[in-house]
Amino acid sequence: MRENHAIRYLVRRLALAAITLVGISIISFSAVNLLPGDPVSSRYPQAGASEIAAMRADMGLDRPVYVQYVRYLTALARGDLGWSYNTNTPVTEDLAQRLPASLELSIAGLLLAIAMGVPLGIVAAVRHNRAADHLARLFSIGALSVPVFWTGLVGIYIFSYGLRWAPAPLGRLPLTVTAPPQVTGFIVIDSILAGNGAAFVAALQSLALPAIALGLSLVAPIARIMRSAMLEALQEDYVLFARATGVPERDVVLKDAFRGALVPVLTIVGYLMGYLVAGNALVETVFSWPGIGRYAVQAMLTSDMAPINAILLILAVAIALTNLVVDLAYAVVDPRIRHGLLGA
Amino acid sequence: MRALLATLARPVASLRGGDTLARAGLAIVIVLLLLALVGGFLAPFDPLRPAGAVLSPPSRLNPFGTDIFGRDVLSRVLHAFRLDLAIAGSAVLAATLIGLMLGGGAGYLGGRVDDVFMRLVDIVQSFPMLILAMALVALLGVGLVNVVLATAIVNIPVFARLARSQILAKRSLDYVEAARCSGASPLRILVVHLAPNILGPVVVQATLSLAWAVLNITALSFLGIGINPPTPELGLMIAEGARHLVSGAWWLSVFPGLALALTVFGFNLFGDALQDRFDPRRRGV
Repeated sequence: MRENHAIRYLVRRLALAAITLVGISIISFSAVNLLPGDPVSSRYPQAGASEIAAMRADMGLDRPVYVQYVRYLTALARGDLGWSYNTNTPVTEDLAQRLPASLELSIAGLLLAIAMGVPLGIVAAVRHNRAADHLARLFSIGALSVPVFWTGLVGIYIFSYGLRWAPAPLGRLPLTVTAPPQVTGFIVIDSILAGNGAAFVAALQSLALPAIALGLSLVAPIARIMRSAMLEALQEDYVLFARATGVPERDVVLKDAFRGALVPVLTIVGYLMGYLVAGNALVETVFSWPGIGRYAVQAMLTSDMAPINAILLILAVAIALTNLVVDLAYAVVDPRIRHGLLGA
Repeated sequence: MRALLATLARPVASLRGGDTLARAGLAIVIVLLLLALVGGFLAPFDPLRPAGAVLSPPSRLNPFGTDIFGRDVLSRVLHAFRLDLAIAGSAVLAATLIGLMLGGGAGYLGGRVDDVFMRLVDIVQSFPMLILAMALVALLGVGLVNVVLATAIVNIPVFARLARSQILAKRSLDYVEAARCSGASPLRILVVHLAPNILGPVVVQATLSLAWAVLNITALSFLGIGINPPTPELGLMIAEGARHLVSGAWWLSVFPGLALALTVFGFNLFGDALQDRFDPRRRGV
């Protein structure tokens, strides 16, 4: 009976994910192919009618929509995301080249956000409805409300223009520093591997401001979910039991309740990814960071269709798959779902 | 109509309970709305014409300084703030109405319609909102109308989901049954009996969405995929000012940014406090 429920849940969830993926591919296909704005005439405004027709035929744009969609899917299956007009390079190559920069920034930002958000949430829950709770809430609402591109600019003005603590906002390394040979693609790690102390310090200095700006924009959702998860966990019977058996309050909070609170925190990972990606696009633009976010913005500014399409598709698929994994992990962890009590 | 107003007034009235943060949020929101109404008249100068020396720092004549064309930054901020609030407001209002109709309808009808509808919402929500709005504006073309359109579209799923869950929870309550027995049509039940009773959470969501929408719209314009210059718009002003930060002209970006942050902060604070009132789980145990 139990396995039956678990398998039904699994099958249902996988089927839903499959439908979502097909839907995503249809949306990203139609975003580029069905919306007003013809890729040929917007790219070559001077071209004559016959030339445009020839180019459209060449690109297969004169075929029926479903034929174009099937061709789009087969190209996707081959890993072909099209060519960028801006860089004159396959989009997959462009993305692969820029991925490490974006990952390095995202990971640094996320780590900072966790380092700030998790303690804030715990303190707010433990001091529920007292001054510390209100202060924590004020701080996270404040961090949520200040636009990330503005935080970045103010940071640049104070720390790079005023105090000269940080280098000019020109990417991952100042022009005067030679990059270490690429191993992982993360300059901070590669410079350690190469034993290049100067590059390591320079890379950290370049990374600091954008990572802080990005991190601040992610604090609020983390602190908020941590607070409500901790509030709930602190009411659970196992916490009451731990307290009753004389476990020190510190351990009750940081070991028992914290562990229980981590489960609900899982559910916002997909949602957090959306935040992270949006923040990346803005922060990378402000700091001339050579990553995917800045590439995406450039593509949007110039109506470069293939990269826009590829980025929409990859992000949506990544978020849908993350939500799938989170749901399945949740089902494994939460016995109520496993046993079909909350399955529907 | 009176029932509707009462629904709206209840959470606001309950704020008298002494929650300082909530009251501060409410105060900021009221001041912001007043400013949006009369701000244009308060502006000392024409936002599009020179009003002093080029790039002059804050002074008694130009409290927020002037920009590269000698335009008064304070006047521009006042106009820009009003424009951003108007764009965000109309987009969120449209998203709320459409979301309520779609989500409410799906929740009330249930079955196949509801299943298909929820899949659609899932699919749209897989796309990060800002990136989807960026792509929509990029594909439709920059400009005011398309920014409103894109912001409205990306906000619909949240309201649809909310309306659906609220309707699902309330459609089998006694007063709905009574209305149904007395022969009311589904449309009448939805609009007259159900809509007023789900308004509270919808208003909370609209407040938070408004804060988000203002951020989103200014981000689009900041990136150059939104409102076109020379329109006074906060994101655009911050972007223009960014080019002059290195020459020390901090006032070009700092004042529009402060106005923007304060606006978003007010709506977020108020929305957050309202949310606490409506959601007993969040109020704490």
